[in-house]
Amino acid sequence: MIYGPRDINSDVRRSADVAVIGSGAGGGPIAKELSEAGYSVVVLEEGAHYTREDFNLDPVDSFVKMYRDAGQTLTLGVPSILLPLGKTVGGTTTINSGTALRMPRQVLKKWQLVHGLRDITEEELNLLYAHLEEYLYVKRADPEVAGKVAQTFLTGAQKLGLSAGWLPRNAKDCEGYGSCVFGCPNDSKQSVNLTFIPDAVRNGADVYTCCRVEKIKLENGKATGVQGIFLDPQTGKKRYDLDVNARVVVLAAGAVYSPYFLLRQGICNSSGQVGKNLQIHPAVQTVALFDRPLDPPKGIPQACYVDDFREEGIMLEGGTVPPEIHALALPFTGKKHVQLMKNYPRMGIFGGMVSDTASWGRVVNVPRAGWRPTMFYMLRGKDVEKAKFAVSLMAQIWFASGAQKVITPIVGHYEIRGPSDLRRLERSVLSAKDFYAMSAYHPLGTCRMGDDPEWSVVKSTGETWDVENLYICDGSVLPSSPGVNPQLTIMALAIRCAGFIDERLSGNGSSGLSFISGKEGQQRVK
Amino acid sequence: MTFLGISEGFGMSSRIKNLKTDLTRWADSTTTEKDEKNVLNGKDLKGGRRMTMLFRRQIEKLVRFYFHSCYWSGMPEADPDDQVAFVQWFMGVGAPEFKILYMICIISLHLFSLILRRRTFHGLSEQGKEEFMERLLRSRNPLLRGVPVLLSLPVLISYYRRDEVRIPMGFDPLNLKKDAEKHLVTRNGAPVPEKEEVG
Repeated sequence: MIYGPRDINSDVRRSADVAVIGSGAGGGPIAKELSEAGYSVVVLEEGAHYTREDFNLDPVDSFVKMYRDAGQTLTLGVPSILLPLGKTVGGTTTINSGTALRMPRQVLKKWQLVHGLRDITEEELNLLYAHLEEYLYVKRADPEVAGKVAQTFLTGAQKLGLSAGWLPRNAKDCEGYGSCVFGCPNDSKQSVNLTFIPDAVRNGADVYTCCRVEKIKLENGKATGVQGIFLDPQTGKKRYDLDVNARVVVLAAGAVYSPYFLLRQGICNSSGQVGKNLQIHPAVQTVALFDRPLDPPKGIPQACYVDDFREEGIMLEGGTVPPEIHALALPFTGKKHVQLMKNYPRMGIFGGMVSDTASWGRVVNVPRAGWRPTMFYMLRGKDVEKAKFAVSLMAQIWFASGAQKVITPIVGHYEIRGPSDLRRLERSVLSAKDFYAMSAYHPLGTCRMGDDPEWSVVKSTGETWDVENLYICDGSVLPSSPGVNPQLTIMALAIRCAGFIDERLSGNGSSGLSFISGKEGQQRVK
Repeated sequence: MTFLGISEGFGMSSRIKNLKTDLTRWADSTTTEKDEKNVLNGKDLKGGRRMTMLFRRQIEKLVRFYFHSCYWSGMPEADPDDQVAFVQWFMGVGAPEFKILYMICIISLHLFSLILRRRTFHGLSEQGKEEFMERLLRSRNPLLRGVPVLLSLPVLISYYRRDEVRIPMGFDPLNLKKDAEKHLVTRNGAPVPEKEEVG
């Protein structure tokens, strides 16, 4: 059952085989797999449970309900970057764009060679990806509903001979309401709140919402359960206590909150790596003005891609946003801003995502009001160049598709009106402070996986080096940025981790999970 | 002389202490309408409430500045009361540092204006304000540029989220929601039950 605030009227003390902290791309699959194997599973989610009836396509309403700090989470550094994080059943998958891409094999090779993760094989990951793609109805975005903005951009990319196409998405019968990141209004997007969590509940798992775990119980170096509180969703104040005894605890609170949780409690950090190595996908956007209507925001917000430069860490993905978000992307003020916004129906917006390799980021625990981590992030070196190139590439594509002018987020180059402006941008030498405003997605790497206890936080099984029976399974364990949207990879690693937890709980050294116990699973166990 | 509610004559430490108290109280926007009436009736307000009201006025002036050209551009005019209430509410639901940062930005805007234009920001003409804001936005110094960027964030959302603005632009959430309800999707393709309950 999914317990909401109305269902909890006293302290909760109970036991379970597995306590899962977080219900997103990591926690959801683990809960489903282990409950299916017959274990009693308790999922503890700090956010509330919302359904399509609550998804009214209003961005602000969505920010307040389902985003941490109403979407106002920022990194400290140059530039300061907006890093939206989900806080609801389903985690960030409930409010993401629904892009479901496999990780490039080169990234796995790097993990194997640099981080010693040789037992994660390409074959195993491919099997998990295939399973997930079937379970989540992953298919390419439908050009019929993708919207004019995406179609226009794709046409421009094709004119330039770039490798481009429609993105694979975990959406079934999508009608293109342009609202993926505010909650899908017709349940088309197969996010964790609609897939893994309901399946886990059908298998007998209990999900407690508005419930913040504050401590992992430890005994002789082993995790034995969790303690936390139930929160009032309106005031955020404590209502009741929670105490769960569990044989295994899974921390799946995401790459920002999982390390923060460990740092607060002061555990699992013998390596000193908890919170370090924060990697994100910094994103730059360009806005183009056309002489014909593009009818935003109808369509799929993230429908197509250009991946010609993916190996260099640049991926273009995008579509449309509603006016209140679009307005924030224009680096103008007063009359000029209003004049441009008046042309909203004739404007398109597209984003470029940078896979960071030279930048520096860290999650730290410094005193702040409430339960809030602090994130430091400095965009540096090659990553600045990549961001600039992404902007320039998008501008060229826009012009190839007939744009009158392109608006960029780079100081000194806000308006690109043609080839000469474009050349000036390409020749410019930029630093991180030259970006007007940046957002970023997919925080990763803050409790990284590896074969060296002095250099990583968790083993390749997902179990922490320091605390037995404590597993971490979310974006924080990915040792480096995959360069593409990571939800499918996080889910794949979560299912893999569930197999190891099953082995631990069953005590017979092999997993009995339905998906893993077949021929493929036996391969993995060997 | 007072500047944004900080009076002369206090020692520096008490000034900072007062400012801190005022800043934390500022989020309480529910009292501001009452405060406005008290001021109109000639009643004096205590520091925190005076601060709240002063910042409310500052935001209102910002809203008027950002959208002063709407009428001439054929866009719906700003609704300062509604928008100011939204800005205050929006900052109250986010990270607590955000609203403090916002107040610092308002003060900084006036300080920069005093330094660069020898007048407070609101003392400039509409044209002067636009030029000054553009200058800040084009600055390569992220601290200078950060001021208008942060100030515009809730103000812009407060305007473009209004139905009378966004519906003519082509974004009608209510209609889209109605349409979405006609195209509900279930995982197994089964008809949608009256009210789905999981578990």
